[in-house]
Amino acid sequence: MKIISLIILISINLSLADRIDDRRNKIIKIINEELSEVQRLNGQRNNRDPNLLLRMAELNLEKARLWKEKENKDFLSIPIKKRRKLNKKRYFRQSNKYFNEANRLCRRITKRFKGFNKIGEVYYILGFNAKESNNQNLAAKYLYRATKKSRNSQTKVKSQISLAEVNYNQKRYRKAIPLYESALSKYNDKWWTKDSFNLAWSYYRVEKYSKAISKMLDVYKRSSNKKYIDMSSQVERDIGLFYASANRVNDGIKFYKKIGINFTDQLLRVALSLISQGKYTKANKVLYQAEKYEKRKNKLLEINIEQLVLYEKFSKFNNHQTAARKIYVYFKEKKLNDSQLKTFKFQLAKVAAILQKQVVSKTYKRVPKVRFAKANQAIEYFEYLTVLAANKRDEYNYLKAETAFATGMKTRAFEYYKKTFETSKSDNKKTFLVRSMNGMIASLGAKKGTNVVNNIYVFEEYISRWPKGKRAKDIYSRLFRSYLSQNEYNKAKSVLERYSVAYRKDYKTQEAMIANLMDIDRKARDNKKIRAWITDIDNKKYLVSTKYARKLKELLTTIQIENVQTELNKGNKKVALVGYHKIINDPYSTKRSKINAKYNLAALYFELNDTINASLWANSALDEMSGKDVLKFSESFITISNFLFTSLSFKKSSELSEKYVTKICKYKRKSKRTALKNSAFIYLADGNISGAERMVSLGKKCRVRSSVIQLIEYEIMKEYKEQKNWVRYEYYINKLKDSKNYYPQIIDELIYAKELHQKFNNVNKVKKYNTFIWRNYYRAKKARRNISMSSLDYIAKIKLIEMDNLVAKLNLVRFEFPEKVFAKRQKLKLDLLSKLTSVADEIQAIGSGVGIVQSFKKLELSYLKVSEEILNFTPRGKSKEYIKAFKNDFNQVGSQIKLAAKEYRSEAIRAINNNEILNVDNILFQKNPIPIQYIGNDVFSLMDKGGNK
Amino acid sequence: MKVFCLLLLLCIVGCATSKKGPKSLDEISQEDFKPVKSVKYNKSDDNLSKVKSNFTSVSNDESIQRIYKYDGDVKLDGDLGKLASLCYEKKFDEAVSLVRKINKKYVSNPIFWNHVGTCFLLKKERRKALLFFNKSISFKSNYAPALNNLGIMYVFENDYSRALVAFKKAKRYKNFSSIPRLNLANLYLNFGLFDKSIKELSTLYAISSSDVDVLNLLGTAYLMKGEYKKSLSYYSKIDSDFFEDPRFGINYAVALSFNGNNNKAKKMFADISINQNKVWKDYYNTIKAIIGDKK
Repeated sequence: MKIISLIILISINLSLADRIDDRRNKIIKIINEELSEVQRLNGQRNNRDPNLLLRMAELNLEKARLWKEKENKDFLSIPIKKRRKLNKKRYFRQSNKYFNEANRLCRRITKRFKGFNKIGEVYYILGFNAKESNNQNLAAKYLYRATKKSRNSQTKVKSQISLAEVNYNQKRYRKAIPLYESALSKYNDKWWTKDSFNLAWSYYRVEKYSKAISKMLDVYKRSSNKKYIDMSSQVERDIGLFYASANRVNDGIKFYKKIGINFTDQLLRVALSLISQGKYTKANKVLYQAEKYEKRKNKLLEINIEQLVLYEKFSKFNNHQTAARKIYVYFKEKKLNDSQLKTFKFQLAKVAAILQKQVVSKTYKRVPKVRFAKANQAIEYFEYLTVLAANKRDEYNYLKAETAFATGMKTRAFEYYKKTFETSKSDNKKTFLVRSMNGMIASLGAKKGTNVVNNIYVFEEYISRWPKGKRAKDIYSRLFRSYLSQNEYNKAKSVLERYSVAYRKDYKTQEAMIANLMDIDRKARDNKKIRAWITDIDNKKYLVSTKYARKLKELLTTIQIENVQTELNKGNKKVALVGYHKIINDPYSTKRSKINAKYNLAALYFELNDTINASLWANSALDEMSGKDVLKFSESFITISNFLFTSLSFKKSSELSEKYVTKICKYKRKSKRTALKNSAFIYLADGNISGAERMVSLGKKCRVRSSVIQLIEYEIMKEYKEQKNWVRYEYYINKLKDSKNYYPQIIDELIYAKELHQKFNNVNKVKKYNTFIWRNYYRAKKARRNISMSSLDYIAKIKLIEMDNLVAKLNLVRFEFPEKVFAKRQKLKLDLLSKLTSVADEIQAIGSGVGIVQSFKKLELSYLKVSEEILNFTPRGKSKEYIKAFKNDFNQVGSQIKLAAKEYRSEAIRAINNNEILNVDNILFQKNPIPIQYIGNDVFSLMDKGGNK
Repeated sequence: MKVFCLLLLLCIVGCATSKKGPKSLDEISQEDFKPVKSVKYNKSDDNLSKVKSNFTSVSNDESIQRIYKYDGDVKLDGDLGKLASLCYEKKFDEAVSLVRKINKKYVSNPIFWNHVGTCFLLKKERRKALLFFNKSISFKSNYAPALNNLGIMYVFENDYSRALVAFKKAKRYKNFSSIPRLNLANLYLNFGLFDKSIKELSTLYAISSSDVDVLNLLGTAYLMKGEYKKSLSYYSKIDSDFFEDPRFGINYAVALSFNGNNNKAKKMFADISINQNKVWKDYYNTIKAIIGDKK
């Protein structure tokens, strides 16, 4: 049925179109006929009749209109896409041709026939054509002339209306108004309502609202008359605006009410119109009224939406907020369509942004209440947006937080940031995850009396996502402190563990964390935990500096030791003893604790008089102690070493001293050389020469002064001598023979060595040692150094050989005569005696007991012998008188020599007694028939007591 | 008396050393840490009081060695007495144990360390003896017994000059002591310095006229000096049993001979047991030749 109807309708339309075309063609035909006739007449008149020209123009114009209709129709029948690309002029060529012809004719008239009584009509045609060809200014020019020149009232009115339209279109309302007024007062055809409608608008435009409303009402009234074009709907549409603009909304409402139209719809439209004109106050009023009277929710929503837009433009944010709240209720009721929702979101976002900007700026800093109100509004809007635009809720939550933060509402800011963070987390969006975290951190930092729970939440979240980086470093520390403040030590430790993984090489922070946690264990005296720390550090679970690790161990040492030390200080030495043993046996004890325990055990066992344990622990402590520490406890080690010595534990004593010296080797201390000397001498006393030799090496290595080392070497040499180890003995002789300190003493040993080699007939060695003996002797004598009596005796004995030689020579010289020979021999003897005396003097000067005794003895005997030889000599073959005289002369000499011999004896006895010369030859000076000897070595007695005398 | 002393000592030492090695940790008590009260030098401890000896009267309060040598009796009390006894009895291990036990008590007592030194000297560990004599002196630099004993050590080393100095020092620091004088006199006489020896011996003789060594030394000294009668007067105070010892008998025989009693000299000479003291052998033979030749 529908299809049939459509086909019929199409058929009707097609037939109608055909009829129009046909009619047009007929009219055109008629026009052409008339035009042809007029043109013929004009030709006859030779273009001198303006009426004919005008008629020709009118006919061309009419033709142009008709053609244009057709061309329009044809043009519009072309599909739009194709039409856009076409040259429009080509399609309107025919109509244009006739328009131009009409214009040409009219212009000829205006030029040639200026006084033509129908010139007004001519100008009208020109104006009309210009208007049709959209040349408004030209149209206005011609139409204006038409109104002025026209004598025909109908043409004049038509010109005025056309000119008014041109002005109206060109928004020259003030020019249009009088034209309309004039024209409309003179004609009353069907177009009157339409033109009056334009006049009403012209009034409105020039703010003549009363006239405009009045004209509108007039138009509305006449529109109900079929004689006129019905403009009622246009009036209904626009009059509300006029009323509103005239501040006569109530009149408008009455109007609409009267005609039974829902006025709020109109008011809304009006409001929009007002808004578009920038008349916000008026628009606001209209909307207010509209809202007041509107009962339908959807319309109220529309009103509120418009209000929202208006208030935003108007910067009435309080009102905006009210409207927004209302709309939000509708939103909750799901009343908003897409467009409204879009507008609502846009408005909320825009205003919230503006408010946020204001909050942040300085403008409202001095008016905190206003600032807070604005911030709250922005937050409210952002809150709405989190619901309205759920896909961007992280952003809006974040903006809420930012606004709160900027206003100083830190607690709220934190909550919003947290919400943002949680949202971003659940939505798996990164942008605001990071920002909200930063915001939370900033909020925590800015807040006084920080909420530790919040701190922990934020920091845990932070490091769970960003375990590394510059900021994370600080976060770990803050989280650690937060847990500490909550006494959650295990969690604090877990922070440390995570930190040690993330920032392995950051010793300092790890150290600080460990220090805090250890301090707690320390206060709790929980040694197990402290040990666990140290174990972890040793196992490199946490990385700390060497210095810190050492300090930590020292701490454990202190803890371990301090209990025992306390007992020791109280005098509970048995408890302390057990305690120190425990420390040593404890596998977790630090090295330092153990050293300390060992040292103290040594001291305690020393007190217990226990040589074995005192030595054991002192050695053990020394083994592990640093040289510096050993120095600190020098006195103790020396005391223990002395104790071992006085306990006759020689080996232990010397070994302990040796170890002590080894430990303090590089330090320059008096105790070093004392201990070295003690150790060496005790080794020697204990028959351990190699130990003493070790001490010599150690002394050299430790730069102990050479005099001490040589002293030890000297004693070692003596020991080898006693042991008859001649190779080593000789080795040390050679070592010491040139030493500054020992070269005089070593003469004894050189002599001994020489005699040894003599026994073995080692000639070269004998020679060598002989050289050394004399060299050292002269050197010592020159330097006035003490030489041992035995060495002096040796030297003296060699010199005594010289005396013996002289004595032998002396004995060879015999007194004989003749007298000359006797005198010669006597002189020789006396010379020899003199020499002997000189040599004896030299020997005695040596200072040797043997030398003094023997030299005196040799002098005494030699002198005595010479004196006896003289006294007993009797020349043979000489007279008695001669002999008597000879004897008288020479007996005197002999007696004098004898006296000298006696004198030497006395001198010897005096020297022996005065110098207490301990020489076995002393007995030679006894006056007994035989020298009485005494050998009382077994009489020498030890003295056990001082005695009571 | 000597036997009693020995038994007492054995008991004490036995008790002291019945358990070898240090105490175990469990055995140690707080009491064990009680500090040992140090026994400082006291003059009353520095003599021998209960001595019974016929031949060593000049030094009975100073030398245990001479008492033991001449078979006298001495009662030794206290730690120091025990130590001295053990040393002279040559019970060195026990002496060492005792020293270990009591060394702290006498740590700064020169008498104690002199005994320890003596002990080592008797043990023929001269270097150790020297260390302890020096230790004794370190606590009392003028302690005559230790100085004297150092002199003895020098004698053993044939360093007579040093021995002389040590004996002199000991004598100087203890003017009324006998042993340093006796040792000095003996040293002098060994080297024929009879006048100096006589000077020391006269003092000793004034203290005691029955000390056998003093008498022998005086007899020998005057013999050297050529005062034979005087020499003989001292020899005559000596118990005849001593003359079997060459140290006594040879010069006594010479004195008899020089006093014209050659027969008695010969008889006396025949009783000398030269194997007792071989150092006298050369001299013995010299004198034997002289006395034997005399008609």
